[in-house]
Amino acid sequence: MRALNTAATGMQAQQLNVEVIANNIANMNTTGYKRQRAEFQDLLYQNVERMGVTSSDAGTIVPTGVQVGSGVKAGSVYRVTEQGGVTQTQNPYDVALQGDGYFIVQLPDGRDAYTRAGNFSLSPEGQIVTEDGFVVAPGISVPADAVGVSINRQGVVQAIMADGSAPQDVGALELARFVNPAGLEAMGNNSFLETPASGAANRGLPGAVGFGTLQQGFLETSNVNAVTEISALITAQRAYEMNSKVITTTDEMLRSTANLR
Amino acid sequence: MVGLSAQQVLQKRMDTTANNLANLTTSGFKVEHVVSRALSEKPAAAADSPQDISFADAWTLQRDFSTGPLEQTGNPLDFALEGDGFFEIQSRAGTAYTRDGRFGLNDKGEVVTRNGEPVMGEGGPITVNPAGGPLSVSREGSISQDDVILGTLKVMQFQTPGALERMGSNLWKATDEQPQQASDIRIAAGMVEGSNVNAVLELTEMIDISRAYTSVAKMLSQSDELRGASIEKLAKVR
Repeated sequence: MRALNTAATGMQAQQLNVEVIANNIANMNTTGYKRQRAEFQDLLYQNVERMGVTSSDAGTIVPTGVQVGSGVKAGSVYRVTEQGGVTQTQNPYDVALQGDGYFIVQLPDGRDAYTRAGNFSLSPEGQIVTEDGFVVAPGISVPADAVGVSINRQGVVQAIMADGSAPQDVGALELARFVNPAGLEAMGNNSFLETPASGAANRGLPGAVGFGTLQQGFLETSNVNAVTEISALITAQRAYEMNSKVITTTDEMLRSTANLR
Repeated sequence: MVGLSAQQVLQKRMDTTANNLANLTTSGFKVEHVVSRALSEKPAAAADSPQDISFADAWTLQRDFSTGPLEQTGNPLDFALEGDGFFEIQSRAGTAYTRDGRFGLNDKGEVVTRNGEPVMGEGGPITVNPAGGPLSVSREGSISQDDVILGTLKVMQFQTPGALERMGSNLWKATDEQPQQASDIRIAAGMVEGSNVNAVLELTEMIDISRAYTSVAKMLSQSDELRGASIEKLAKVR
């Protein structure tokens, strides 16, 4: 019977659903994390009786016909790029991004990665780098004798000098935007890579048209909502149970057939 | 034979119920049930029995097009239709219709489904300027960017939506009827329509099917016994 396979596809789908929810909950406190959603689509249908075929000599037609479906498949796991909350950290190298865009991180292999996590720090050479020590584009060096930095909403980094002279402009943080940010490939460590689906990176400065602005001393929290995740988890678990019930019931039906003789 | 026909119909009903339950979390999914009818056949020789023999036959599908629960997603290009109607999609297999409004942008800025198939606006596919500002969507489905309307989502309506053919991937295909522009368009952006499958109804349906199936099986084995017993008796008469 087809019902066995159909229910198995349902159980597989709910398993994926639980895995995605588990990852969201695990990353509830990850800076700049964007929650994901497993999305499902129905599978192919078999036409047992085609709709629209003539059902009598008088020319009446079958209005609906009979189509039997074969279950469900995972259509996509979609990343919801909704803005997360911001939390104050007081660290001068923590920058929260409010609005659209990604910080650009120069990977050691020459490629660029993109991230929403603005928890930066200084390298031994005085450059602004990520937690992993990768340079944040365009590569800003803070003079060794500076006593502090200020990063304004437009990304301009100014070094405050010990001798009380006027703050020095040392560069501006760049951002990248994508047509389809959901198409970026997650590479772990809060970073993403450009793909053909995301479109090419469109670089610009914070505060330009369409780009978000920066806030120094703050970090963007994850946009995971615990209540939504837990209720989604309950739904997924129940749906899994019901599909396993379909398997038991189908099995009972088959057993009664097998016991005929 | 009558029992067998009933079991075949029950299997189809079970398959459909299994499909409904598997799609408990599929956006825009519409629940359906197999409706059976009695097929009457004249016995070979009318004199043998005065009555017609009725067989069960899976006849048609009863589809429920009521709106599923709306779920908030936080994605600005997710749309839920609150009234009747379908979004029009330019699918690889021709024009298709869907209630699943989870759309996004492709690398060229076109509004597409999750499978990358263009969503039709009233004047063809809608393209967004990648360098422009954020998008906003009106209740009537017009998508605008920087105060310029880029296009309006095409929402079509069928007199008998039950006659549509399912293509899988949440898409439907028109059969005989040509769709009309929907009269009552209410679009909720940032929401998706969930599946309208009612788990309780499906579970009771499943119990119903399984009990009916077992009792038909019992009937079959009893009639087998009866036949066996009568053959034995007849053999003893001689």
